[in-house]
Amino acid sequence: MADVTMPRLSDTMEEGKILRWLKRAGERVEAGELLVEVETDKADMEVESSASGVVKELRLAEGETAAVGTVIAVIEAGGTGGGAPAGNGAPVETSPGVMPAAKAATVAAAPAPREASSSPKAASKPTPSPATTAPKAEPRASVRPRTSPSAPSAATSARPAATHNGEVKASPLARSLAEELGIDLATIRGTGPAGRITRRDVEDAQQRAGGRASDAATSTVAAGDGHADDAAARRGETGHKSPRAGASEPARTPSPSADEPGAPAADGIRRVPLTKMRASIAKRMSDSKREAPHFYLTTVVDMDEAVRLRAQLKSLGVEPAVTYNHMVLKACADALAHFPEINARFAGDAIELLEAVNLGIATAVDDGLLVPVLSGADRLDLLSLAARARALADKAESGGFTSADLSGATFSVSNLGMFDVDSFSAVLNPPQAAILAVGSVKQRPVVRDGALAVGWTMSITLSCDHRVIDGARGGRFLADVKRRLENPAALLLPSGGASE
Amino acid sequence: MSSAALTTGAAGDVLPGAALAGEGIPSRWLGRLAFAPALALQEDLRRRHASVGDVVLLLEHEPVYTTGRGGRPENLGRVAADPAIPFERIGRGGDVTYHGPGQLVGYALVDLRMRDRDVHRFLRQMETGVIWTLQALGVRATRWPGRTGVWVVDRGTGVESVAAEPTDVAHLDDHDMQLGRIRKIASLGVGVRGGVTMHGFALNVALDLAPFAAIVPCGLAGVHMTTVEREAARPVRSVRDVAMLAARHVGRALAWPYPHKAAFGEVSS
Repeated sequence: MADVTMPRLSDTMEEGKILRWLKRAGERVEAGELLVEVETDKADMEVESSASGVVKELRLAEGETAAVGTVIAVIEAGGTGGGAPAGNGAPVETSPGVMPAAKAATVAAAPAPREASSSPKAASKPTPSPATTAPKAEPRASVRPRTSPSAPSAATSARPAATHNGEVKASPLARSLAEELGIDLATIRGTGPAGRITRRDVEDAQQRAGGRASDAATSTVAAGDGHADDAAARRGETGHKSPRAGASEPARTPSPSADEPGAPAADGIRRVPLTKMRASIAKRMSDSKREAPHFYLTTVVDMDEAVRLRAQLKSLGVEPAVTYNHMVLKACADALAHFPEINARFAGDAIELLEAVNLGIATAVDDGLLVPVLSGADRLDLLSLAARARALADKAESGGFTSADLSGATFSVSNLGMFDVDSFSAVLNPPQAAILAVGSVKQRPVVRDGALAVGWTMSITLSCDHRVIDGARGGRFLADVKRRLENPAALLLPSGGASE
Repeated sequence: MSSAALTTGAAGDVLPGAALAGEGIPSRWLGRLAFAPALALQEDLRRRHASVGDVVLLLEHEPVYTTGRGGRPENLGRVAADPAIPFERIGRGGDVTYHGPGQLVGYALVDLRMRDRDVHRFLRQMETGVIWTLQALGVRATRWPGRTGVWVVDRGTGVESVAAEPTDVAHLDDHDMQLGRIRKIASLGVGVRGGVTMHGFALNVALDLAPFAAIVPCGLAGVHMTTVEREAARPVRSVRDVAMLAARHVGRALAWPYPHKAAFGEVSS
């Protein structure tokens, strides 16, 4: 039995009037089907049911008004899939079409992870860092309640395909595959029509589940410097472990030496020989700090619009999924096209201004850090850039970088937001003259019009080589990046195409 | 006029009417049109929205009374008295109103799913666009919180700006409205079908207000309707000229935050 309540069709809506019932008592209604027409202010909106079943009762007559949240109808579950009734009596909000993230959250709040008992080890497994920027990496065998409200879209993403009466919509192929792999369909978000789970959804879920253990290990190793969120997110999706292995195998110890060869610790010291990569990092970072006089500029970006845009893209099912880091990369690329003196390097007796905008994306890998390069970034629109960045992150996972992938960057971005780092300063990656360090996107107190409010913010810090860049120039560039992120809709356009 | 406006143009031009130069959401000028064909046109564009995209239709109607689905019978007054003016009950919000020559009607077919599905915000944006249009005509107009639409206030009531911030009219009440201290110059009413908005606003430019006397406009007893012609310091322009201003201002107001290229050109120029 599901209560249908007066939906909130606007942030400012307090009550609504029933104009017309589109279903009568006794009629059957499917989730997504039009149920009622509601008037609020001077707008008349069709509203869809988010529950399937038989309309048991219409509590309000046409022409009557009720406050948002009031029960207006009752739907008796009677699913085609023979699912059990919900039994929790949770109110079901009618949904104006696609569920907004905020509403999806209420749906997602009823997890029933059957694995909790079948996979006892899962409980002792270290929890991966909150994946604010990688909501897709929802742990399959999670026994904790979903407690990451920081990213509104996470709720959308985590929305399982279960309807309110407990039935799960899935294709027969998806059902058999899920059974074979031991994945509970209730934990999978369906991307098919009306949230139906497809075979691909099950495959994706399997891959996500497989990659998590290595996530936890990598994160710790990588904490020395920046890496893009995509790496962690993609790693989760491209792991090769079976879900059973991923879920039940004990996670690797987060000590960097755990997997390393090395002499037993006789005196409490264990020597870990440098890998080639660590040696390279050590040399380059020392050179950088020794030769390039660094200075740092920090600003806080108002991310409300970016959060909204990302949620919109998400709710529209835009592929590839766009992360905040993609937006940062795009904003930097656009800004660099207008600030040649930042897209530059020190060359002993000259400053070289570089025509191409090639972005280095600091990316965590198993044993350290790589900076794959997204070349010609200023010519890409946001979605193309996201696709290219994802491809690079995939290569980071598979170790398939060629030297071309790793050379020629003119500017770098390092993002530690997924580790809940508020802000940090990055070391320049020579010979580049600047690098941007990106912190977490979170709701924080902000001052607006002289009053305290809550807003989504993100701190960004630009490290500059003072031989090339002076404070005022760096400041102007940083302000430009900030402005672009605060007006993120323009990021969807290719840099040159804005004026049409 | 009407049948020509209904034919879709040359190959490649999937929209009816003539394009107007504007900002944000593109606008089309349809000329003068009876109510029924205009409604059919809206329905068509709504169904084809996925391929056609957001659009604002600007037009003048032949005389007609319309009311929303929730419009109250007691407000209809004598709509049946004049056989020359037909009456239609339609799928929009709001109560009874009158459309006729001399009034600019704007129908917005806009994807509300791209706008957080926030229908109130959409109404506020539309009001803002109408206020900007009026500003360009030299008419100071404002919102009046709780009474959707666009209003004009007497000097001396403390309202000295056309700012969309309506705080300075908050003290006015029904009594002020009945005395004509605050007058309605534009009415709004929208419907949302399949996530896409329909209907929109009606801005009185230079029309005969007499047909309003037969009804309780918008269900507001004692409301004074007014026109640009009455309120503007300058001579009023044709409805088509006002449409050209609306193409810019309403198009711009409705575009946010959807990334229409023209609307955001200044950001990444």
